[in-house]
Amino acid sequence: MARKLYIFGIGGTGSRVLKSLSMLFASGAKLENGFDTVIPIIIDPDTSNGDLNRTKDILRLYQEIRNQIDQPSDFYSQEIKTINELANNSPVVNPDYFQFKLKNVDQNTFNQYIGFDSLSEDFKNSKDDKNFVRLLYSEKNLKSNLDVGFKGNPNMGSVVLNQFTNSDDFTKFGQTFGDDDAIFIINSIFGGTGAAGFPLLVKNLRGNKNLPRFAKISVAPIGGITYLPYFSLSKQDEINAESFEEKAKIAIDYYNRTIISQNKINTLYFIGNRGNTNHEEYAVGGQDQKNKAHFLELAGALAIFDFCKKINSITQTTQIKEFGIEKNTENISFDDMNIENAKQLSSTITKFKLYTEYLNKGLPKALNTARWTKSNIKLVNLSRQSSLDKNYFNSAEYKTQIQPFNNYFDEWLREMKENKPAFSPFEEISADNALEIVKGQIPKGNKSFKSIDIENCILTDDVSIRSKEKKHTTLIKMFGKSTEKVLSKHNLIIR
Amino acid sequence: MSKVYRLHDGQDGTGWFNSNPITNDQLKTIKTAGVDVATSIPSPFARIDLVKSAFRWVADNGIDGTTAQHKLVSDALDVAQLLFLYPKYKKEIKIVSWSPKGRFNQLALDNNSKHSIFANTLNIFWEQDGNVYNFNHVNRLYLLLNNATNQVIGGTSPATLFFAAPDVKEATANLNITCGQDILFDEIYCSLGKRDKSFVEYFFTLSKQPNFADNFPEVYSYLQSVINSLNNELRAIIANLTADNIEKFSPCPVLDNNMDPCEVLGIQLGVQVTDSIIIEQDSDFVINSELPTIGPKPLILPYDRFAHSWTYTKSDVNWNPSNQIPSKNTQNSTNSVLPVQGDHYYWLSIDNFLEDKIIELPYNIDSTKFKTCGTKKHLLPLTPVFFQYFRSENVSNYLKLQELKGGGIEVKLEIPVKKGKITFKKIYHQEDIIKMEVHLAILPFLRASNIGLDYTLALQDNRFDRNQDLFIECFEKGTKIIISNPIVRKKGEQNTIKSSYYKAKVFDSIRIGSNNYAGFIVPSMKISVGNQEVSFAIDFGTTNTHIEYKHGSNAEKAIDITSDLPMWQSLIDRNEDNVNPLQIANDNNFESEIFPYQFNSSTNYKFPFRTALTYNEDINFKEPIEVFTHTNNFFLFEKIFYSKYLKLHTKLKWSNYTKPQDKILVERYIECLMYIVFYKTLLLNGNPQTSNITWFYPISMDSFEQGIFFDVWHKAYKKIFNVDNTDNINAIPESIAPYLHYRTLYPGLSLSIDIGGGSSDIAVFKNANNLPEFISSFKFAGNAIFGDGFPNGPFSNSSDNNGYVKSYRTLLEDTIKKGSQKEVILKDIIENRKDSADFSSFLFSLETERDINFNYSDLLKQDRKMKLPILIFYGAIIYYSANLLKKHGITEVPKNILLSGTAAKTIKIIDSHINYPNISSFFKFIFIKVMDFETSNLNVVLSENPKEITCKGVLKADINKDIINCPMVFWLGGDNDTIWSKALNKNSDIPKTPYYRDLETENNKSLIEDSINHFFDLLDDYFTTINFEGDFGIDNSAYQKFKEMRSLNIKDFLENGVKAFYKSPDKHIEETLFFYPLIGILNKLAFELSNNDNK
Repeated sequence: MARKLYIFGIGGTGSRVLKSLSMLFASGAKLENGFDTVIPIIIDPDTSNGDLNRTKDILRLYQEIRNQIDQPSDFYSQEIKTINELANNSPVVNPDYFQFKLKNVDQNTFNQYIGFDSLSEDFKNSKDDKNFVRLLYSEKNLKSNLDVGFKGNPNMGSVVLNQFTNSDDFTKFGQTFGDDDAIFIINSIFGGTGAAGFPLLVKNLRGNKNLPRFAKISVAPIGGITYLPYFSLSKQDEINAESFEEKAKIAIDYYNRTIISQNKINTLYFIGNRGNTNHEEYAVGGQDQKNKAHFLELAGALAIFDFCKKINSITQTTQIKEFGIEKNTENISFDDMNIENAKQLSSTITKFKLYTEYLNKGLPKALNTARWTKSNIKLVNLSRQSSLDKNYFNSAEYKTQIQPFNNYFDEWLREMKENKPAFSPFEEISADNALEIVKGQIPKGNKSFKSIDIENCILTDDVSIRSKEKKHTTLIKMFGKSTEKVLSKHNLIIR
Repeated sequence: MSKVYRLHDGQDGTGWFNSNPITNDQLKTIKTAGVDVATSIPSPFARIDLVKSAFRWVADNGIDGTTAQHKLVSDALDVAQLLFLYPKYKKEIKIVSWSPKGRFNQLALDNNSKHSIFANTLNIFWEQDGNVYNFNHVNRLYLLLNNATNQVIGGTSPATLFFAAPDVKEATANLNITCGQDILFDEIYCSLGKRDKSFVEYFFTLSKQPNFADNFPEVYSYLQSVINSLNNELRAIIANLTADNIEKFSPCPVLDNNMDPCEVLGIQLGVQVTDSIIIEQDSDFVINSELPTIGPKPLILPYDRFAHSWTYTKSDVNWNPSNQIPSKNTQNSTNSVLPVQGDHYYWLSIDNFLEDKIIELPYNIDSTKFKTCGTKKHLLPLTPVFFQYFRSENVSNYLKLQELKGGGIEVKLEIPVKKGKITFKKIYHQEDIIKMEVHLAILPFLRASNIGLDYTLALQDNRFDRNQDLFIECFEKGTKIIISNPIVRKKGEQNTIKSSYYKAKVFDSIRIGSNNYAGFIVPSMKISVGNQEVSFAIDFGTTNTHIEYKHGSNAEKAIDITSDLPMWQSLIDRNEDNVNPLQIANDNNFESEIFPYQFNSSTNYKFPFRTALTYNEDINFKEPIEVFTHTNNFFLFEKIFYSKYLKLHTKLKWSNYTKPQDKILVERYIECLMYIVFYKTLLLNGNPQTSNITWFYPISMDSFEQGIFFDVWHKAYKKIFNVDNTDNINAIPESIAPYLHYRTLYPGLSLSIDIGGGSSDIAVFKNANNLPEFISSFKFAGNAIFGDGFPNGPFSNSSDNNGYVKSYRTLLEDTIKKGSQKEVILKDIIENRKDSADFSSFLFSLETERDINFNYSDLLKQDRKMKLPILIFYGAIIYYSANLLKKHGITEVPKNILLSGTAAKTIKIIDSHINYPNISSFFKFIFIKVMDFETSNLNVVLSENPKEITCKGVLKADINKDIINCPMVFWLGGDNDTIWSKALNKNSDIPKTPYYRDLETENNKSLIEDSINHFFDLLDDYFTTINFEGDFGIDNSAYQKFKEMRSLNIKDFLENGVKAFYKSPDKHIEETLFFYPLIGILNKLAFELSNNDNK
């Protein structure tokens, strides 16, 4: 029976963690305990947010690629769907459905949003609603524009974001929620949107009786990851990084009291980084807000795996989890992580890294040379001719799906490497020393891509990886197997 | 070494390991500055949470500080304190309630989807965080609003009891509320321990309520920290507090409704018990007043910087030298709020006591009569408030006025308070000095210890601009008393002086001003103690009125007033040199409208005064008419010209008493006399209850007239002396009194003849008795010589036909200064009123004037014609008297003829020798001829002051009861054996007395005519026996003229007389008819003598 994990990614951090998660899924990582479908729902009022759009693009590519793989079992094996696809059984991939779009936030001020001016001020009859609101919100709050997020005012965000609970998406979410399904929420505690959305979402999930299948959802397993500050901003302005930590403290206290001690959530993952020196270019929102991928976002993705893995042993009392690595370093590679994480990542992203490296650096030499790239070998049955020929690699699908996704993957890794702390488990390679890909590991024997070619050639005849309908089946399945073989043979995967 | 990605310090682990919630202690390891209030609470109720966290943070990091957390706590405490002080600041704030659950539900159903979505969101948080913030136990929240703007200042919180709105600073911008040394909602944060003691106590009392520590743990922690900062005393008080102590606070009311109290989780909020008693006890600024106050005594707050650290309100609230006090408390004692502190308590400052402007008069104020406090021309610039607390007579102990060299007036007012004095200083610059030309007089200018006097206030308004009415207010011990509406006596047309009169009860200070300005006048009035007995004799004569008094062992003397003890007093200082004569002249209006300021033997004016009355032109006799407002005795008639805007009335005594108007005027005239007597009594420290008044009635009045006359006097006495009975007011016949003066000097049978203007009285005394043998009165007196014949009818006011006027008018007009008052008076007499009697009275009065050399008596003495009517006049009186004596049965000729009355002075005109030998022999001749008895000598006696002796006599004799039973006899005038020829007793013989109609029958008129002719015959006999021209200085030609005309119209004149004296045909004849023809004859004679221009 299909089991679904609904992941609410709130704000920029939500998007970025979902990106990391997508990369892991592409690399073949798979949720345990039967969670075969992941439904990411990005809640971010800032529609022009760079991080958001990148993630949406990645998710779209992921889906498009996965749709061209027949029964994916390694790379891209985890199914990702939009809530719309799920509810309507629609095969159309539309990345917009990953995102819940807030209405009435463009051009609106907060007081317009809540209809402040038409609220009662009849104090004589105990209906001075305006002053009640003024007791909670400053005039500055009330007059601030909503179109660029909530500028670090989650008390406003909590109201605006609650639009979500009145939306079709939220209804669809309730309608599609299965008995064994689970929920995971990604948020940051220090920004505007994320900080606001998380408690709101939890409160709605646990307390909104209007939600379809409320009875089930209100007791469903809910996990969440809360990001404490892990980067700071280069400029002090409306979002004041100086106050990040202060805000975090108060928010933690708030979570302690309103979520944790009230056991509103089953597992809460806390992560953050103190004293970081990594400054992000400041942006209040909009297209400029495009932060480099960060190791802690990858760790956040790992939390989702952890949540699913432990799904059967979760307790009603909130379990707090925190993340650590074995060696305190600013330059993290697999060895620095705890073994389980190291295994999980090593076995997935090393393979996918080798795959993308090969397509970038190995393929040009092999194409039309290596047998697995040739579809015109005489004496070979048409049925055994390789489908990954020049035509394939020149195909629009390859160029608009595989290549862009791979570029995103490389970019993701590169950004993590450039960030602080740096996550850099891989070395720069060329076609000739390709197998020196894992940092600190120097394999014996031929280090070139040749071993990939060899394995690919072997796999060319494997009918199980062939599919006429689904164009990427062979490529994805072939490399899933060949990279595994090559890396295993050279002990480059941590087992 | 492993690394955990977190901010706080905590346990180690790798990968996603099981950890624990981040504890508060761990959170503390996240070092932050606390400078900014982070707005990271993802809840609409973040504000509530922030304050909750702030209490914790402050409790942990120190209760005093300048961080944002301290601000949140301080603001919340400010909200709490303002709610606590609600009664003080009712005007500034209000408390309203708001029911979250109810409103969420209602708004969720709102047609406006924005409202419903918003309400749903709020509701989700309210429910989901219900346990965390005690939301689920909230019935209502209470919002504290700024009354002026309806902006929310703060509210109650189920998490921290109180919290401030984010925009509290803006919401309280106009309030500026100070509690003790703390200004609420300012940038200086104040921990609980540094706040007002009573508030600290209250807050800790709240903390003693059940479940407080569980419901409000952060606040509780905070309070624990605060305790350590308190002094021992307060700590002890707090230690002893119990939950029950909350009872001592009144409930904090929603919308000022005490039945709708605020509560937080069932803890009822209270308000400060405004204990004005404590402030009254503790404050050093409490007024030290002389007069008792009603309610708590006000605080006197210094307006200028005041550096002493005196207790302001309560023992722990001291005066701060930087306190800014409004110059004036505009609230009454009920709504008054103390500046800075805001307690409900009454206070006063500079402008409550001092006026904005000071009024300057154009003349100096008499500082011996009024409190001037240092300057000369200024009304005291005090408000009525001062007099509520201090005795007006002591005003100069507190108030000092000083003229500054460069102009302007500096005023210093010292108000005594508990710890000393508060000094108010004000400088009135030129623009603050309001020049106001007014005159004010107060009558009487005295106070009596036990008598509620009625006062008359006279206001002369001579302001150039009279767009705004002057007002006048009277105060007694600071309380405004009711005064009458003004009666305008002079309308002040064409910017002349306007005079208004007010009646008031007892007062000690007067406020005068117009809409914009006012000032005080504090009179220093004589205080009468009332322990003496004073006797008065009042002679209300036809022409003149005289009053004498006697007290103790002093000799009787004419009633007198000197400026040191005036009866009325005006503001102006007459003793000052260089007083603007114009101002004096304006002030002198009071003399015409009240009575002379001074009258005594050394001044121009003195009793006896002319009998005259002036009254308002627009008088309405149907309404109450009062002395001094509607009428006044115009004593200065013919001394100064009467005021043209008033009507003049001179023949008061012989008014037609059946005419209500005439009667009213007489009543007022007598009342005025009575007032003067009453005031004189008080000025002499006399007791009005025991003082004696004797007045005189003319027995020639018929009984009806006499009845009215008695009634008028009694009413006036009772009213003015406020005595129920009439034991101390006695009437005696006018005839008797003069004798009482003479009797010890002139033993033997005496005939007293009192000759007034309108009537003459005779009395015959034997053996120096108090009571006469008989008395008689007849209307044959001074006016019969100098007047226009009969006082009423066609004769009256015919000075053009008067011999004396004709003879002396031109001479006088030549003598009198053109444009002088006297010219005006004279002109009025002969051109307007044409009253010949007044003409001669005026001429006689000029003899005592210093500024004119005109002696009417001397002129007449030298007049060889005009003396003749006078001689005949006397002859007629003696002829009549002799007949009466004889007919009454007196068998001897009187030894003494005692003359009195104003007109008796004329005897000197016809006999200027000492002891009047010529007259004496003339009289003797008549007596002998008529009575047929011989006599050797006859004393004719005339006092120097013949008018005054009536009064002096009665005072000497010490009369203490009415004398009404004297035999009043008269002779109708016939000489046969009928009733017409008998001496008739006016009372007992009435039935047999003929009626006036009887004159028409049986030739009765001839009886009178015969007697007159007999009298003429006697005259002819006598004058042929003596050297008529030599003895009396009268030309024979004059006498010849007399002989020619005397008998021509006797009967006609008799009829004229009957008519002129209002005698009805159906009435018994009540007086002699003998003189009626003579009146006409003398008048005609004088005229004819004057025509004969050969002087």
